[in-house]
Amino acid sequence: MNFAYIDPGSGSLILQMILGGLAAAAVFAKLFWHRLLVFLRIRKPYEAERADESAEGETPAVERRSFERAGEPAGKP
Amino acid sequence: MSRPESPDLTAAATAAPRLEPGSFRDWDSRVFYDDGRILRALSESGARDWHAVAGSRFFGEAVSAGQVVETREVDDVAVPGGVTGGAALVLEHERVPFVSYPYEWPFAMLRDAALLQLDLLRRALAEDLTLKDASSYNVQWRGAQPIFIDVGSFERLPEGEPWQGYRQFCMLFLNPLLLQAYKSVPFQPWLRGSLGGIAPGDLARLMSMRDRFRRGVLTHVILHARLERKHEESTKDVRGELRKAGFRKELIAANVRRLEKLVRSLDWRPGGSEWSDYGVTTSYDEEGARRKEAFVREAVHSRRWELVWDVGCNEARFSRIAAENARYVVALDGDAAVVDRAYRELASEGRTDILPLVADVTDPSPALGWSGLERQTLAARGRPELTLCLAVVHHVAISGNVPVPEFLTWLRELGTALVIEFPTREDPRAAALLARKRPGAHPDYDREPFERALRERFEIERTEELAGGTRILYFARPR
Repeated sequence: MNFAYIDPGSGSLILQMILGGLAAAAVFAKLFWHRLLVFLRIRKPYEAERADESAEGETPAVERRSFERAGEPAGKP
Repeated sequence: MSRPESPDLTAAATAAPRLEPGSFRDWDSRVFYDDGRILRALSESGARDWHAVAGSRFFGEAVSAGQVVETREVDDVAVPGGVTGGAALVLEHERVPFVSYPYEWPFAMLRDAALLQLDLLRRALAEDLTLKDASSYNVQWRGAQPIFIDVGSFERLPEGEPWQGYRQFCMLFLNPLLLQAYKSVPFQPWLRGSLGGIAPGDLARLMSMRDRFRRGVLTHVILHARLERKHEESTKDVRGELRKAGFRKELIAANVRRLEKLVRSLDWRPGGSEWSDYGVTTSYDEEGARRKEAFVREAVHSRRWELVWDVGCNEARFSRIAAENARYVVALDGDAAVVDRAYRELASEGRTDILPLVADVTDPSPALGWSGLERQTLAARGRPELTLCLAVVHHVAISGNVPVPEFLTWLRELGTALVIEFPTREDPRAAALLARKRPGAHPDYDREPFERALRERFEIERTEELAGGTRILYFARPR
């Protein structure tokens, strides 16, 4: 194993996993939402495809939303 | 981009090879000096990392763009004793014109340094490389252009592991920026007092409920602090577990992109800083300002200067005049707001010859760190050949209470020539400062004692009275 010369901090390492998970959850949520709209015939599949693409490309809007959403429950004392 | 040639300005230039006292933490990579050259001894493992980095596309591009110091392999130097990791390979680096530290940078400089760090990491990841740390001390400046100097920080990406430097990035880049952007508290005194930076737990305690909902705070500060506290005593192999859980470099890359957006969104505007609206012209009418500029320009062009300090630089107007005939100018001011403004202007002009720094001459940067040698005093990093002290003596003497003769002794010990301006007691700005003191304070603050003290230490070459005789300019050389 490649050990760092600085202490990376266990908490800091775990946080990176959580942050990655939040980002992945946001992309998944967006995909799911669009599929749901297509299923309910609120949106056309063409739009859903475009949304799939932009979700994979990680648009800033998705990421920002993921921060805010993830933030709310944990922020309450 | 114009690039200063490897200059030889710092005290680091000595004849015998010697270790850089601040470069001992990473045993794969140790900086030392030989005859003014900047060298780096790499261990076996460090050498393998270097070969991977040197062969990558982004590294060559970053060096060409002036983002990373120029580096080459050398075999004509003896490695000094004390290099713990061994020396499988020696690298030589380009020298930066003047070493500076994050506690001397204004907000916008630390932010640009952070963006450079993240940009390099993102591009390295694309080629399966990473940065093993994230110290803001690894960024230096070529004027107002940031440059990454620690080539030994690049390493091959350990598969399935999170970024080891994330915590350090938070402590030395992100948290200071958040502190100033969200709380309007200057980060410089904290960084000067704590070379490791601002811990997540300390910053978390300063964040109000409202701050918790500001961008980046909940995750990088509050959650970070909580996890750190929870896992403080942990002896578990977190990295092994994360690897098993399927941690991938894409997660690091996504985090880096989010950090870049966060850092870019942070800003700070000074609210009513004392000097922020203070222009040099306010003490002079147009004719006086023109004559003052002409006086400084004549002194600047009397010979070629290697290094000029502009003490109390304000908007760096006279630093620009000094740069007309100097290889490098360090523009110093105690007010972080004016230095921030000067930096933004110099950066937008693409200047590589003027380095703006937050530094109060009545309390200049001390020697700090392990053995008191890790971080050097301002003067130890490069003594000026010419120093401009324009509209500064009254602040030092009256606001700072430093006796004028002692201030002149400090300048004399730097061995510098001097362009110094003395505002008499009748000058409106000096009078305003005196009015705050008890009546009769600073009786020695006057033209006659000032000139006597100056003459004892310097040869006065030229004098000019401005503003109806309430401001006097002197060009003097050390005796």
